[in-house]
Amino acid sequence: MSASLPKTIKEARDTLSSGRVSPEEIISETKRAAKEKNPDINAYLEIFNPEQSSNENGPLGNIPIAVKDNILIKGKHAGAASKILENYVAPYDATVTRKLRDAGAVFIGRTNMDEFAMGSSTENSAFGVTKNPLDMSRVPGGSSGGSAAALLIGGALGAIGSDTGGSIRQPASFCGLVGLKPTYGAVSRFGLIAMASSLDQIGSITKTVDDAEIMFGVLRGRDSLDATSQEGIPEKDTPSYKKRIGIPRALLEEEGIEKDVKDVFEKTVLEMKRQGYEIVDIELPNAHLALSVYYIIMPAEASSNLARFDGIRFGFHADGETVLDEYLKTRAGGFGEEALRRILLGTFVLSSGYYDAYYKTAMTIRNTIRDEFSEAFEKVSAIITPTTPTPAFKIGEKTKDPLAMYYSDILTVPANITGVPALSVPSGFVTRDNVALPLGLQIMAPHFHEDILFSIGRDVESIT
Amino acid sequence: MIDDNEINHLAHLARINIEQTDKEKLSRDMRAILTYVEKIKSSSALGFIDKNTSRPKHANIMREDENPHDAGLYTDALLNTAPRAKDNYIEVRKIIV
Repeated sequence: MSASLPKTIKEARDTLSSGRVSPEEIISETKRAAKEKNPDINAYLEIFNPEQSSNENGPLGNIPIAVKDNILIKGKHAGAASKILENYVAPYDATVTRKLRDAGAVFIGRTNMDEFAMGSSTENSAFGVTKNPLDMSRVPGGSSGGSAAALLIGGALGAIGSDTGGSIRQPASFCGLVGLKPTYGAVSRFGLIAMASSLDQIGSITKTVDDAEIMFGVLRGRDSLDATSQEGIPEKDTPSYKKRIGIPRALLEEEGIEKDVKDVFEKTVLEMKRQGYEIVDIELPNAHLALSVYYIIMPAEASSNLARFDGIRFGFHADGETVLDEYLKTRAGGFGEEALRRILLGTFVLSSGYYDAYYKTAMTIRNTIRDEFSEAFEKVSAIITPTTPTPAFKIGEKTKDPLAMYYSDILTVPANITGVPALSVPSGFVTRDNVALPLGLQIMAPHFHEDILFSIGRDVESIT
Repeated sequence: MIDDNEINHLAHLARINIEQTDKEKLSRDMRAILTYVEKIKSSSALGFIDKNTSRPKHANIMREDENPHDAGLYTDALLNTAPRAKDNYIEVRKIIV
């Protein structure tokens, strides 16, 4: 964006209301930047034609927003970056789409992602890799990598994505942005192409914590079209010990978390102590199993959710001689490698003879981890960790080894497993090949206490 | 646990033809992932009587089956997304053989 144009949603609202900048300038400049940089970065799968804000005086009046390809906008293509939905045009709006539009947002386009949100790098898209604008030899993270990259190229002031195991927070961390995964149920999933229904949550990627709070205010709310959504009243008030924060030390000892990532984290912790925070060690005895639990429950739910893609009612269709033949060919032709792998994994852990040992056991441990978080929140108001075990890795670095890729989520999945809200705030840099790469600090709070996330997040943000 | 027979069985359950995939790699990857997730067996949580004290109380949220929308409101929109539609029907291959 040119020097005089606002760089955040908050700034944009101020300059628009003061008349210093016109809506046309912001939107046309955003589209121009998107069109100019997108061929190199591939953040957007499609950039839309000029749109009018339907509510110029709304909380997001004339604010340009990027939308992840798994969130439906009526009349536009939506495909979760999969070949199996290549020509699908959404017949209805997602609830979040309707809310954003009613708030005045202008949708710039739909962003690239890992197919069906399955991935941590946006390398699993059927439509090409998205590059990290900060270092184009590296990934922007995933699965909401396109949304993060769109912001960095000046192609939007805010973006929405989905987070099932870290897919908002991890790209935010890799791109030096703020990523919010709200409490499970805080934001309606109606109109989100489902991956794992007990884990998915729609959230935002923004430049600042203030912007995340603005977006959350628009997105949140109980929706009669999503029975898992809630109004969001926390069970307990913000505790009196709100400046006491916990670090699950044992989880940080897991192998694969790079040393300089830990060093940067410790430096931030020191600064937070100077800000008046009391930082204590806490125990989450089963949190190190969250990744294992996740890679049982998530594929199970995904295998069920992706059963609908059979070439009959929508999407890609391969001809065959019988119905069964058409299912087999359509799904083989439409799903990518990672989707196939996870569907088969899910089928396995739910199948007769294995269900108890895998899925049922995973559910038991899931409940235990949730209890352990609740117990921890009796003593601390928030839990902090680095968001990711490494900075942005190189394109192609982890594609040969699925487990290495899954490992990127080790610190983010606990929030999805338990449903607690989590915010990643840019915090420090490490150097790789002479390039400074950003890192994120992750804050987790009790259910429906996004207010705690924003409060602590603003403090972390102010540390330079 | 995952050998060729198992992979073929799973692919059939999932209704996906895997003849064009690298089944070797698929089995290998799945074995590696399953070996990793089997860590859950070591959890301290297993083998204890379920405390069930702070278990969130789940209940089904059902609405009354009332106020249907007008018939036909969404028919066109839905048929437009179907790969093979004819008149007011979605067309499929013969099901009863």
